[in-house]
Amino acid sequence: MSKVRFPSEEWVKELEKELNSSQAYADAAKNWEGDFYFVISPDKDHQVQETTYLYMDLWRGKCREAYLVKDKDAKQPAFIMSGPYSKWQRVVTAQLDPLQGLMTGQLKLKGNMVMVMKNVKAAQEMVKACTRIDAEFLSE
Amino acid sequence: MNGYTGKLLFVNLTTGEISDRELNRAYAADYLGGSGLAARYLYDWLDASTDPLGPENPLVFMNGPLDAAGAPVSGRFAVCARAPQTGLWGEAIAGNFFGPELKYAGYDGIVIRGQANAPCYLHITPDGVEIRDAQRLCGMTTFDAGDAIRAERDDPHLVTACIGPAGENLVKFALILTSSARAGAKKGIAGRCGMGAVMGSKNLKAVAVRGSKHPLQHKLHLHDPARFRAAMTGAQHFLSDDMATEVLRAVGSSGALDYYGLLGDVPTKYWTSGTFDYGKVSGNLLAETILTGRATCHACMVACGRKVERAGDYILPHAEGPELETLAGFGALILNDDLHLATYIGSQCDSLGLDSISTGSTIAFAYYLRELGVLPPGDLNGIELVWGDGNGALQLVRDIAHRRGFGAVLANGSRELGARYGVEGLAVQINGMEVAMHDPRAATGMAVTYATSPIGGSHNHSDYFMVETSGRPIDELGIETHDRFACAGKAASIARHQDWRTVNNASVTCFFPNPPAQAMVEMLAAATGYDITTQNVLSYGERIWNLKRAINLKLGYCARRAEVLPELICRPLLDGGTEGHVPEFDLMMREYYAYRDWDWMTGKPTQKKLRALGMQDIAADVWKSP
Repeated sequence: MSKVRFPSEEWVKELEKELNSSQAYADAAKNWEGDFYFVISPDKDHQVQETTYLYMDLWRGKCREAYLVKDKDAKQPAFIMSGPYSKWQRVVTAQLDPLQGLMTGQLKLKGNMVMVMKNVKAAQEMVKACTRIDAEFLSE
Repeated sequence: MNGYTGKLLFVNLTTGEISDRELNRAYAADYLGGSGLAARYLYDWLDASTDPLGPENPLVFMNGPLDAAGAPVSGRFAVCARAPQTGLWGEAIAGNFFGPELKYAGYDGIVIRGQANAPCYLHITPDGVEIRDAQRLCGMTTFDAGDAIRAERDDPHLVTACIGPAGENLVKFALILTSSARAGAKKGIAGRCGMGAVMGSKNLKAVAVRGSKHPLQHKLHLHDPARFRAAMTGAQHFLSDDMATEVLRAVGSSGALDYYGLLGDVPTKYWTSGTFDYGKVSGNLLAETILTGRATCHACMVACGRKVERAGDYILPHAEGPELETLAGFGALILNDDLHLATYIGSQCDSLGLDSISTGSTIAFAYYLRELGVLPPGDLNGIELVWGDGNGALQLVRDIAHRRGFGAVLANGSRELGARYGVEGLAVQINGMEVAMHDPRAATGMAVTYATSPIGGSHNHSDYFMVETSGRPIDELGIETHDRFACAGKAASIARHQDWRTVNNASVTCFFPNPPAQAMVEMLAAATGYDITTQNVLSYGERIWNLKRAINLKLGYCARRAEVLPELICRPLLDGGTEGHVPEFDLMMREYYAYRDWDWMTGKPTQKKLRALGMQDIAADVWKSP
């Protein structure tokens, strides 16, 4: 199977499959309710030219749909997590804990902070799912 | 004197003498304020013969050069004395509005000596200082005593620092609680070390203070107001966009419990387990269910204080909700998953005047000894201590405060409880101080932090677990992040973090919001006119750290006997987020001593180190022949 580029429609679809086949994610995220924009912006270290918006509808341990969004106004998700490409690469390869990324200002989050703080295990399982995707990064 | 009022209030409760004295400028220049400046004064006054609960033990309240200047995260104060719980250096830091109010009243600090022959309280306003009768306040809770004083004086602007029944009964971990009648004011808890017992030993129920009704009359002089404002604005902008600010405001400190639980940071079943449903007793569930408001200290942009009017059937005094340590101590530590009960027990600690960390830990130790069969049920006067049931803990909290029944035993802390049953080594304490609610097996730096803290097992001299779990370095001060389980090569960062937090405790500023160190240093320099930069600021912290070590040596501290990691923390946990790790304590301590330039055998800072810090007089004392 060939590698899928991060970020891309293919990559987020792979993540959707991984989440929906993970019992560990289903258990950890059973109380999670809220859709997301994951916003990957250009940074100085890489050749990303445009900001990418990945939409994921996460609901009670399942991912109901996921796709790349061309028009950022197409959705008004409950959560928007954003950061430069290099930081996202570290997150999806499990080199940067997403909560650490937020606390250190490497990533930004808008949304209900209570929901986020009580579902940190779901975030960890999501990162584990990311690492199971055979992804290709611009730096490789 | 820029950043200071230049004046200390001296009160002798034995003689009734009250006087103002000029602040020692040389001491302030070297030790800043807060617990640093208090330590320099107390170094001169304490020795091994000082009885912590005797009239000769001076109790010092001290604010800092950033108090009342409007700096974000300022507005705190220190209260210091020889600690009854440890016999060593004692300090507790608290917020609310007491520190700035004392400054508005014209004082950088208060030194209280002697012992009143009847219960009294101290009443401080710009119009004068008086010692007033407090007979009718005896037995009142911390909250009620503050309210009663405000009513008696018909002065809603008074800020009070009160003890509860625990302080009156000389419980060794009694606290001092500050409160005010301002809407949205957060309680201030000077919790650790038993400073409330020192206050109780002096027959002093409260200190009530109000600043000038005409603020300009006591306007604080800053060395460079424009520079100060520029740094302050930068810090405010940073904090307004900082995720930590948003998290603390939304869920309070205890909102981190779900995350810390996953990491194995939250001590569980008295440090013997790593598994619990941490989300059931955390600030997140609290925010979703019983939170009724947020509360703040002076000049705070965070408002981490939790207002909870009622938790289930329980009504909370002053609607003051819990912080992380309290929910951990009365939650995971005894496997109690009843958020309402844990919240209420915490409020009872505040109200009765008990440090919730030491109280929760000592009670949890009793649960553990009961399980081991070491503690006979007959000693408990009918109180059942069963993991998961917090009702026994609630009853013991009340009994400790009043030194009733088995509470009288627990009122002396877990070290003495262990000694009573021949298992002192099982008590999770360092130098008599119960270890705070962050497990060194989850973030190894805390092993060194706890062992070398001048007051015992405290996280208030370095919350290094925050560096390790948040991955947030302080680059401009050379404080790096490391793998949380790593042991080698971490000591320098730990020591530098202690030095920085020691500057915070001298300034006096909060640990929760963290503006850039550059901005804090700028504010300190602009307020005082001292030549403080990010290059030299840690030398202030290091000087104070070494001074507190010198005080402890003077009081009889024996490093090789004292700096021991509790036995239970040295046992790997087979479950949970610590993943079986334990700190390599000896390795870390030897690296730490090398960085500190301390002598391993005696625990003394070397003469060279002390002299390099400008502490020639202290060096001579520390190294004089016995």
